[in-house]
Amino acid sequence: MKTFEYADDQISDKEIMIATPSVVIGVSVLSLPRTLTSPTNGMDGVIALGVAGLFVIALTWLVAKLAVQFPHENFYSYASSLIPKPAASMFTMLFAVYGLLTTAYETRVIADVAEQYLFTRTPFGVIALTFLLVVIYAVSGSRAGLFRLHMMFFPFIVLIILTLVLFTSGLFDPDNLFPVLTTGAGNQWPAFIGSTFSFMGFAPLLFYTSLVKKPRNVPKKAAIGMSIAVTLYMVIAVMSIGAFGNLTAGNLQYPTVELAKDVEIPGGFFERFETVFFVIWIMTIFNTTIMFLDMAVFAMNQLFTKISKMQLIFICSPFIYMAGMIPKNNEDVDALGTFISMYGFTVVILIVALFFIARKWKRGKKQ
Amino acid sequence: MGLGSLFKRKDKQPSKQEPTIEFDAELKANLDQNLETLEIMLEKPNDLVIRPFSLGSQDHRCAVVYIDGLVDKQEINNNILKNLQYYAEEQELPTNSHALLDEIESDLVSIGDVSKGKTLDELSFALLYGSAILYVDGVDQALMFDLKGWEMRAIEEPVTESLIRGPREGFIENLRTNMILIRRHIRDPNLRFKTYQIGRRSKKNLVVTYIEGVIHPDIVKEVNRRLKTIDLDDAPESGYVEEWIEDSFLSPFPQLANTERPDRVATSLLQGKIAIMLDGTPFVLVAPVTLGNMLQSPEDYYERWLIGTFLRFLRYGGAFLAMFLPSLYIALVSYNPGLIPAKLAFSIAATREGVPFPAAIEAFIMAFTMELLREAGARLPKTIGQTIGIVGGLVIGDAAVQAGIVSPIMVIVVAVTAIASFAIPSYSATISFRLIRFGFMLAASFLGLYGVILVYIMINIHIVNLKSIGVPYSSPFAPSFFHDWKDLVLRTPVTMRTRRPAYMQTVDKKSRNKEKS
Amino acid sequence: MNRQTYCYVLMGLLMILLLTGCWDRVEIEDRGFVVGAALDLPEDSAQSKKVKLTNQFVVPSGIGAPSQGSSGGQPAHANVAATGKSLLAIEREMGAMTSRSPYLPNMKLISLSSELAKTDMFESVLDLFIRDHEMRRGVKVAITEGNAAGIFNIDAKNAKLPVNHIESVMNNHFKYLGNIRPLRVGGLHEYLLKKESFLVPKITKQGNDMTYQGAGVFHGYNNRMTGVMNVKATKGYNLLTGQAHSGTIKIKMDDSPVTLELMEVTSSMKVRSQAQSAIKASIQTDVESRVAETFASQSLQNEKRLQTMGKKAEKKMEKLMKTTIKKAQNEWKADILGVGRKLHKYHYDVWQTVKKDWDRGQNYFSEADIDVASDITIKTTGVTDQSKK
Repeated sequence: MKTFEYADDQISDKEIMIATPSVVIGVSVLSLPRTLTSPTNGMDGVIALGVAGLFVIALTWLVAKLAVQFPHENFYSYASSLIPKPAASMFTMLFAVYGLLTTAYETRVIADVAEQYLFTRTPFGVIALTFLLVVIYAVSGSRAGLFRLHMMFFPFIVLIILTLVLFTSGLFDPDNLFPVLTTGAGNQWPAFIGSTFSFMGFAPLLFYTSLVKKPRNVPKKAAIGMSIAVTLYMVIAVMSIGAFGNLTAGNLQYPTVELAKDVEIPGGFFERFETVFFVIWIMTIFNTTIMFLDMAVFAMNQLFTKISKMQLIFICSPFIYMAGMIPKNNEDVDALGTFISMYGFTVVILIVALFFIARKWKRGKKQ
Repeated sequence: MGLGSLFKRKDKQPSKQEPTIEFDAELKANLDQNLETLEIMLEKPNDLVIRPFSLGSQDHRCAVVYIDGLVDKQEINNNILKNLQYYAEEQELPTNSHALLDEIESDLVSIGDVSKGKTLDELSFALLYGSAILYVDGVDQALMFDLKGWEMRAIEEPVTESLIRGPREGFIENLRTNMILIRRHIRDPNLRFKTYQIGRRSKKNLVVTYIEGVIHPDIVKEVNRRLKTIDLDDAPESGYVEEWIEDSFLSPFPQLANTERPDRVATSLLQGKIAIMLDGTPFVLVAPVTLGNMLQSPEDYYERWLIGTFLRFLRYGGAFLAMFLPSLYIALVSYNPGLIPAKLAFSIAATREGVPFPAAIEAFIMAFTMELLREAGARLPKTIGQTIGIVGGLVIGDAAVQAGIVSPIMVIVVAVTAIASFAIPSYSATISFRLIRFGFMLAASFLGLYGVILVYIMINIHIVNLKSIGVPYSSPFAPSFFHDWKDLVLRTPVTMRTRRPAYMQTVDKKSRNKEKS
Repeated sequence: MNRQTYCYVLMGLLMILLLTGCWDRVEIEDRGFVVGAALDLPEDSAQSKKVKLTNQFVVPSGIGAPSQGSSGGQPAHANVAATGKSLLAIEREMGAMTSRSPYLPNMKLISLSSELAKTDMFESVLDLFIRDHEMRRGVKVAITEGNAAGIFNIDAKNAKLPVNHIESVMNNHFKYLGNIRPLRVGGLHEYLLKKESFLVPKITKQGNDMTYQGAGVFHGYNNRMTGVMNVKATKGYNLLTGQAHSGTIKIKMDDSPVTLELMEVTSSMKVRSQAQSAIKASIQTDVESRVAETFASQSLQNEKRLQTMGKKAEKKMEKLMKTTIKKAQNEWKADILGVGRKLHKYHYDVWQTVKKDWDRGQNYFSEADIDVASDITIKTTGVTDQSKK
């Protein structure tokens, strides 16, 4: 019933602005302070985080800029206008795989963390399955609906982070932030890489910019969105280091959840804030997951135009589930996470570089 | 596309209207024949009154036919029979029966709404809808006088939506009165009333009203299209129409609001919405509605803005409790007792010591009892309803605790939930919340808080894919129209609300000029 | 496959999940809420490397709902003890002993006997409390003179549970000069990781009562208790670190005692150092106070008198502080004052050289030169100048 003006599959640049941080913020925040502090001294990791943040904001802007050059054109079609068709299909497929792997990874992590903090006996396969089913339900709906979900859940995410910061500010000890600037560049590097990976989530921009009604402002809005994420990350990192000290933060598996554990709300109503925190955090991870699964489906749909979206989802989901169940322990999961980030990062960088060069070259040829 | 569209109705093709009992469609010139056909058609009901008489020197044979009780007899006597007989004495009537009919129509009767009918169908419909029919022998036409005059309820304060401050009048079962009630609120010449007839057999009038120049034209078109597909024998209540034209019949959420209050309809019309009135019911449908509308009451605007805002916050809290409280109880008691303050946890544990059921079963028993009580209370006469409340709430609750079937804290939970759900202004929203509550309880009993949040996410997914006459149900939250947030959870002062809701995409954006404020 | 079928498949999956669900459901009344844990060395000294764990369980019906009135003398708590090599094994064993599975998130207090604290068991037994996800980092840790489980049997006075009583005593009294701030497991975890020396507050059982006074001094490198800090040293410690918010200083003016009540204590430490041998720390403590009690009858509204009073108080405070420093440097040889932390934060290079031998081996800490200065402001003399003439 496409009768009403916005009853269609289009989104606004405002929604991109909210969706970007909402996609970025995911499981990596839970362990971010550990990633930052274990190789560094004091709060030096935060510097690495800041630099990584700036780098990522710039990258987001570039990615969006690239996508905006081809308004209302889907990825595959503009890719094949720049590079040879087989290469374009290959890249589309790479993105589809990236999306599927990320979905599997996020599902696995949510199951692991839920098992640790919410359940003890419930098998994590079941937790993962229920989560995945809800994700599938979301992706089966309209694309614009996914962005509306981002809009609905994002305030909760910001709110819970602010609450966390507010109620742990009593534990914050500025002394814990010292010493400053004592970490060598060699040790900053892993912190930088770790933070960059934790910001992975700009790839969907390549796909969803085509749905934006007036895409002119998308690069700006996406960059603003990314800076929201960077700010929130910085706040969390500083808070955890300030509250725990460098050594402890580097030793805890999920320092952010532990920070939530330390919250003592006056009046003692929520004695265990971390449960509430974690429950809300499920929404965040859910947001990330739907976007990546939908990106995968979107990408595949552009290649296999004959298969319907629902069929694609139902073909892929068993594989996602199985892929998520493969890692045996935490280390394997971490390794999977690093691999996915590396993979995604490489592909995005490659695409951006390649496309800009190809575009320059084509223009030059025209003239 | 997708699962969301599972819930969307496929476009209904209007099936061919089967012909109703088609007696000889055209009228005959013979009066007796005409009367006989009519009698056969209706099988001589005893409320059918046929009054034959003859006029003037030529002895024109005429007959007035009406249904006793549907028309105003006084008017027939005074303005038709008396007039005709008087003029027949006084002046010369035309000899030609056709001319006589014309003369009667134009000069002789003092009735406002007169029209000519040629087919039996036309006449019978008019007859059954409160018209008196005048046959003249020798003419294949008849005059229809609209003299609706049946017994109707007086305009009273709406029972389902009582306010402390606000107009006290509510819609009644009479369509015409209802239209007038709206007209009295909005004197804009652009106020439109479009009449449809629905019901194969009942042939009820349905009026769609909106303000041209405010409403987005596509909404009118869409409602029009959907109304045309209605194919029912009868629509005894606007609920039938609602169910037929709503976007998703699987959704627990009401996609059209219903109200008994003319002031509420008027406000909605000014916001660019459309109202659908059905004859025979005081419940008027308002569409499109969105999530935010469920928790708004007209009274928010009648009290001062601070109070209105406070009441809205209160209602949001109430809605939260009504939906989540029992499920949170189950989740916390059975899965995450750590979330309960330690001392409370100990006392809950102490009171639950003798209870034989797990918290989930306990909650289901109590919630079921509560729903039962409410249902019973609604059906019983008012006076007995109170007794049920006392027996149910106090006696059963206390006895259940004494007997050790449920814990006292459970009684509190159920009572608070019930009270909270009464705070939601719209009854249909309350019902859907009550329904969703059971979903949450089920999820909480199997997966604790994790289940609750998953169901919450699922409901959100459903909402973002849901539309009300094409308008996303989740607006103006998402897609966000920040300007509309002034009148969503907050109720900002009237001077600040200069624009009509942006999510309605009204043609006329401003509700007043800013400079004047 | 049409959409309807998808829907059925989804529903079917959900049904399977739900029908097999409820793994984690444990009704609230079936949980054994553990509010406190006491760790002792077993009496039988032959059982080396074993530890005795006493858990204080809540008996909810003993607490009773308020409407049910007095619960007929049924105690609100039950102490269950078991001995074993690992705490988790003991917890398991305890589950079998008490019909209710131990539920730890409500734990408020961990009490360790001083004997245990002197062995290397200390850090190992705490591991469970730090590692377990059910435990909160806000659980308080204390050491107990003698039998740690003993304090679980004290008369709880107006609280129903002994642990609650102890906890509220700890919460309410750390502000005084003679007590130190309660230690949270989270804080202890930080000390253990940093290998810093630290204090653990001490509880003493006295008959049916308990007192919360003094602290155990722990060495950072091996995490064993090396000494006990008495009330006097604690006062000095609190003045040095500025952790107290109230307390009193008694001085003598013309042979009659005057008590000054401290209202605010702030301290700051500056560390100067060029080389590892010449580490200098200076601690400045500023105190705001008021005259609380005086047995003297002279007027207090006298600038000079107030000044001498302040001087005397400062001297007294400095003496207290110096005693503590001396004890820390010579008796315990443990850097409980955080000089090393300051060094680490602001003189990173020097710290790298002294880190290994800070308060052990070479023990640079003992050789460090720490001087103190204090400044007292007497804000008010109370509502009256004199109460008698």
